[in-house]
Amino acid sequence: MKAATTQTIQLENVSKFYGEVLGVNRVDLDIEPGITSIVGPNGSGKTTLMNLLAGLIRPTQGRLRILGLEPSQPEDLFRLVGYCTQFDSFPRGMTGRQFISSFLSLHGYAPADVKRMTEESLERVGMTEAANRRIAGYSKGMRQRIKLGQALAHDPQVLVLDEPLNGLDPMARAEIIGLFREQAERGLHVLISSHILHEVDMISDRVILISHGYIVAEGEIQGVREEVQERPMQIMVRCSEPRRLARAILARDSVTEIQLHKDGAGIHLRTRDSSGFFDRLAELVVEEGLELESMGPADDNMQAVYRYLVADDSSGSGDIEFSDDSMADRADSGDGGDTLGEED
Amino acid sequence: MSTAQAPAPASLSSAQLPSGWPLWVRQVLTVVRIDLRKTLLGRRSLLIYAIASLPIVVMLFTVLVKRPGGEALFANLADARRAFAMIFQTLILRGIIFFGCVAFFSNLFRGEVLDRSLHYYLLSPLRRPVLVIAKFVSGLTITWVLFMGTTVISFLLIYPPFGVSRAIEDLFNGPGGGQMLAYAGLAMLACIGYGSVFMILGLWFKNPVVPAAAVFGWEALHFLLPPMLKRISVIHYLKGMIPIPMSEGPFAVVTDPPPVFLSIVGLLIFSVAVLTIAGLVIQRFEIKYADD
Repeated sequence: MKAATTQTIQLENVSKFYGEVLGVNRVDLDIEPGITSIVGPNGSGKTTLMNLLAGLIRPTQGRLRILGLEPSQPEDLFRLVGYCTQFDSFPRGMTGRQFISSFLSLHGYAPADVKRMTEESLERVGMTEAANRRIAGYSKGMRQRIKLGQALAHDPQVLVLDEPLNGLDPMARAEIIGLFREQAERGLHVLISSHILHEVDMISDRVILISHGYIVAEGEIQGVREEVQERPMQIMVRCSEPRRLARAILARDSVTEIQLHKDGAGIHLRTRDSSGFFDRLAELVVEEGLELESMGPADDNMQAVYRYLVADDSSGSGDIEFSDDSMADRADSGDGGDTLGEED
Repeated sequence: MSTAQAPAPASLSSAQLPSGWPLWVRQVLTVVRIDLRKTLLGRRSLLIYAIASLPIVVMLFTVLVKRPGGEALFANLADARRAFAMIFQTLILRGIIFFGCVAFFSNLFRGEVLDRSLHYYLLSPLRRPVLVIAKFVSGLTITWVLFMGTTVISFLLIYPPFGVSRAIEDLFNGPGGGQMLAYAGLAMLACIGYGSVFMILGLWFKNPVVPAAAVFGWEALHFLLPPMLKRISVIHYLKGMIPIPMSEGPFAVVTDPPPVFLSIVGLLIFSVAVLTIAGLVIQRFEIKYADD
């Protein structure tokens, strides 16, 4: 842990158990301003972590501080924190405008300020026109936006957003992401949980990977990549005779695994010595007289890093969304291709 | 969406916001406003109004029904007041107010959990004990308006057969005015006593109906309880203030009711104690809607 400051969100040895079921275990984090994404499949502990930060649940052990404040100090804490929960439920009968204005009244703002700040917040999330309708009649995307409006309404220094992009159409997602960036540029903490990995790639200053209640990696995307450097790197090679290439590689190189791509026009392989592999591959291609179409690392983005770390745990769970087509192909290939050899 | 064009909020700094009592009063008023809107203005409120007005319907019936000779049902005001005393103690106090308090107070928190909306309050700068007080004030505001209102209107309905001048005379120079205030006060105290009990039951139990039924049984069998146990009931403290007590039958264990002052103070102390416990319970309350 870094030295305690009042500018960070700190979790020290935080665990949460629901009876005998693990929520999160021994979490140590020191989160600085900027956009931080918590990534993990459903049930990995993301919401538990966020609910702990907001004081909706108490840690079984450990200590949390948000900008120096503990969750047991709601009067001070929630002046600084805005939380957009994953709960898709609202006080019965409220309109969008009442939802935000009542929340601001609970903060103690005077009626004139409540009115002004409510309108500003509605405008920021594009809900002004629908503000007088009951939330019960809103679409999923509108409910998501009004929750964001509530979280932003009092201009908090820390935004905790549990799956904030769920239900938003692509245009709304882009605009909300822009809003997050704007908040981060103002020096705010923006803490986002997501299982949509390509979104994390796009917007995060740093990521926290969580699986089965454990933090498996954290830091800037490059740092996380280095953290797993001892793990085999995945490489995609496309050529005219992939089976022959695979046999040749297995005979001469120390790859840990090779799989045929499902389209039959390439191979996926894993190696611990990627730079050495690329050097030897050039020699091998010349010796075997093979035609190479393309080659390169298949794990430069967050999805691949995440798969390195937790894919074994989450494979088949179906709750990680792959929306990048190429990665979907790789995932399919990895799951369904013929495994030619394993040395690991 | 217009997020890009929208201005950044020019919010007030925390230092400009109220703290302490001014903040708590504002928060309590906000919670009360939300609950009033939800409870009294929704479609479900029609059923509430119908149940609360049941004693008024009964009293209207006594006004409209005539004896075979065309005479009013009650020969004089004393008979009418005795009839109202019976209606108050059976229908209003043990029926409408008791079950009304079960419905309103046990749902102050349990209803929010079932609606999955309690986090709305817990994610605001609202101390949890203040939320308990705010919710209790909400329940009291609703039940007082409904049940004190229905008590007073029902009582006033004893007068139409006897004319306006008799009514004014009885209310301002006779026993009527005092009795009406006593019944209104009883309704008010009953809401405080039963309200605090059912609010904490709603916090403790996922289904407060069963413990509420146990409380109903305890209160109904109060007349059979030995003197020591009688003290652990709300009705014991209310009975001493009823202007025209009813006979409890030959099997009742008769004891002197406590003095009015002690009854009021006792009920208030009891309610404050229960609210204090509720404040401690809510401090340890966790939002795990899936379990509820």
